[in-house]
Amino acid sequence: MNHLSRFILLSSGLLTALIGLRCATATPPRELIDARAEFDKASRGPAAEVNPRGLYEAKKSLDSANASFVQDATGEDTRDLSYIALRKIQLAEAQANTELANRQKTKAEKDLQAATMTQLSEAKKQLSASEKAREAEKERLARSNEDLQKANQELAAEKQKSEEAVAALAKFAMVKKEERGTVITLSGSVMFASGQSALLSNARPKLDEVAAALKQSENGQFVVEGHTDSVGSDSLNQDLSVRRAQSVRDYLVDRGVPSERIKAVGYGKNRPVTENNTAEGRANNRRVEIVIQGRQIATSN
Amino acid sequence: MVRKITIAVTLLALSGCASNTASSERVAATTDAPIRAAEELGANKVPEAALNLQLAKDETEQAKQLLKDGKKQRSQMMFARAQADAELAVALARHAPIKADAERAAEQAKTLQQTPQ
Repeated sequence: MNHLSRFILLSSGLLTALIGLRCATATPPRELIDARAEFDKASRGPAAEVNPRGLYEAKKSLDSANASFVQDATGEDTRDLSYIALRKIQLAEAQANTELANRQKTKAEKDLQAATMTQLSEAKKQLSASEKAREAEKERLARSNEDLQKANQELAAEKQKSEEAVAALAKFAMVKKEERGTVITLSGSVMFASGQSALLSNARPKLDEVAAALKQSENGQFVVEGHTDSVGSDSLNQDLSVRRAQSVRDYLVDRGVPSERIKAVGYGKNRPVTENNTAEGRANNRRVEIVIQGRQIATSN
Repeated sequence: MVRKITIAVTLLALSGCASNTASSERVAATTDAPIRAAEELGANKVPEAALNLQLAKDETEQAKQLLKDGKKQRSQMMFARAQADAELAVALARHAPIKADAERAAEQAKTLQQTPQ
């Protein structure tokens, strides 16, 4: 407690004693009772420390009221001076509360600033980490794209080699691009004797060229299809087409086409390419088709 | 001895009040400024301040009436009451927004400190 506060308490105690001596029987007016009680409360509150000057001024007013009470216990002046003293005490308290509020506000603003700086620092760290991660991902994607481009280039090169080799077969076979793939059509009459599935000797050099072309395609899948005309029963034609497809497949595998990439199927007379009511038509339907199913060019996302 | 001390204290205390030697007009003028200040600070919108402001105005009117009636000493006392009420109204009107600002700043700081990083 500072000197001023100590003085206030001491002098109020002294005056109270004097008043008690002088007016032992007189009842103070309501205003004076309230002022004394309020001062007692204020002396123990923040005003004593934060606003001692204001409290001192209030004390002087209260002293004035007490003195008036000693002179004239029931007079209007005593009530008025007590009223004024009460207001001055309340003023000292209000001023002290304002000072405390200002201090609180200053502290809160400092705390807010510190918390904001901390949040900002954390956000910057997270942003930096996020940017690093994004850069790393960007590099990974760039590398992945490079690999993909390289793979596509290789595939394109392979595809071109294969297409050139296949196109070269056109001198003895029909080569056509369809939705199912590239189709090499070999005439049945060139490959087999009538009703037989064993390869004719003339067929072997042609199939050697076909094998060479197929081996250019490093990743393709091949299907050898046997087809017949409509002469004869369904079962006979089905069986013949399967056996002929198998003969061609076996020969090609023997010439180095990987067995796991080539299969043989027979369709009998079920997939004619033209009408069977002419000799020419039936000759065209008697055929072996070798379908090259290519790999899709890969794309990046 | 007791009487001498009492008179001394009374004189001392009275010197801190609105002076009895000031003219009534000067005393009246001392209430105008704090009443105006309280109104400008928005005391009408702060419940505690509004009460004291109204009291100050009422007391000022009573004081002027007392002066007209020739009751000079009573009017001076009433003006002193009005001045005390007006000054309190000013202090309360000043306090309200500062208190609100302090509470708001404290709440903001608390919220930010509690926000997960």
